[in-house]
Amino acid sequence: MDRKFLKIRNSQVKIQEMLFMLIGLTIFLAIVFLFFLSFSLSNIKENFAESSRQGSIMLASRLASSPEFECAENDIALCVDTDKVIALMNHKEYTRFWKVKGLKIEKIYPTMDKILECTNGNYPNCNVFTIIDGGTTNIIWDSSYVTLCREEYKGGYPYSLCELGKISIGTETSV
Amino acid sequence: MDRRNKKSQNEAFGFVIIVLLVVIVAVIFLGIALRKDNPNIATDAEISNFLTASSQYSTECYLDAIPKYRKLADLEKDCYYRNFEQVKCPENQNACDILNKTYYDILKEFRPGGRVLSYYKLNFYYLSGSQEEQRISFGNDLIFGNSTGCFSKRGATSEISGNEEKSSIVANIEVCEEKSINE
Repeated sequence: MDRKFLKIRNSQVKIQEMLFMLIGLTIFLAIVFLFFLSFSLSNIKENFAESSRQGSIMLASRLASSPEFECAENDIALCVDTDKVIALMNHKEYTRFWKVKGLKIEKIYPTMDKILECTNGNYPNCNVFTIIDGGTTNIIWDSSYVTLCREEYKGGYPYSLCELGKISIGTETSV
Repeated sequence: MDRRNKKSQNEAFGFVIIVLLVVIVAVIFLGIALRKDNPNIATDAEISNFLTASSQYSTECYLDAIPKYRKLADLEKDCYYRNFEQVKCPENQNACDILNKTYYDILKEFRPGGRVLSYYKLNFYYLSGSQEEQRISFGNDLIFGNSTGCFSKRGATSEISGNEEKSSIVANIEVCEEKSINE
């Protein structure tokens, strides 16, 4: 009788051991899974932010290719005619046309010592064209590099002078 | 005694299996982490736009007479075909010198996503259109910084057609951005 009791007790201990082992293993695997999940989620977040940034860049470059900004020489991609831009800045009724909260074009190279807002009076010796001033609240700016070209004359001959610039669009954040 | 030994052996065997399982999981994670440290160069729209836009920049070099100013894309061709006689540049410099100098200055102002660059490499090469694709580098590579420890390497190429049929002149750039404080 005692032997039988001992045998049962021994089996119970073995089952308990196995149970502890299984619980431990499950907890370990759950921790590994959670770690992996958080790792994957952070990657998804990064990818989402990156793809929305790429989308905004594409939007900015599409805007540069619209007839209101595009250079007369059609074979140049991502080219903004600054003569058109300065003319456009005098027509504030156009500001509703692009359905963005902010729109500006900056000259990047050659660099200037200070930021000079472009007006009819100082063009082309300036470096920022603010077409739509987005203000300061809840606006995210995304930009794309563009060529800024204008017509110049030397020795009575016209030529197209092109510089490096950036077109930035401001969109409202949901916050 | 024999039974006890067998039981111990069984338990040791179970322990070895668990250790093996842990090691396998650790190796998988290590593999993923290392892959992230050495990323492939991702093509980036902003960098690609930068190359396209900067290639149209008007330089001070001109072809035959003023004001037939050459753009950077023209200078890439002039540099490869060594078109130094017709193309005149200031201070007795040639097309290759001005190409390198202008890109060097422009790249100082290049901040993709508003970030300062910790590394860049810009190089030019000719790609023949023949069946056996031939790649000939020209000009000096423009290199700044060090690519080791780069957390996200991005790049882009821009192509213009060469003088021969189907051939092209390619500008290729790789950049690495400085890690911002809040990352």
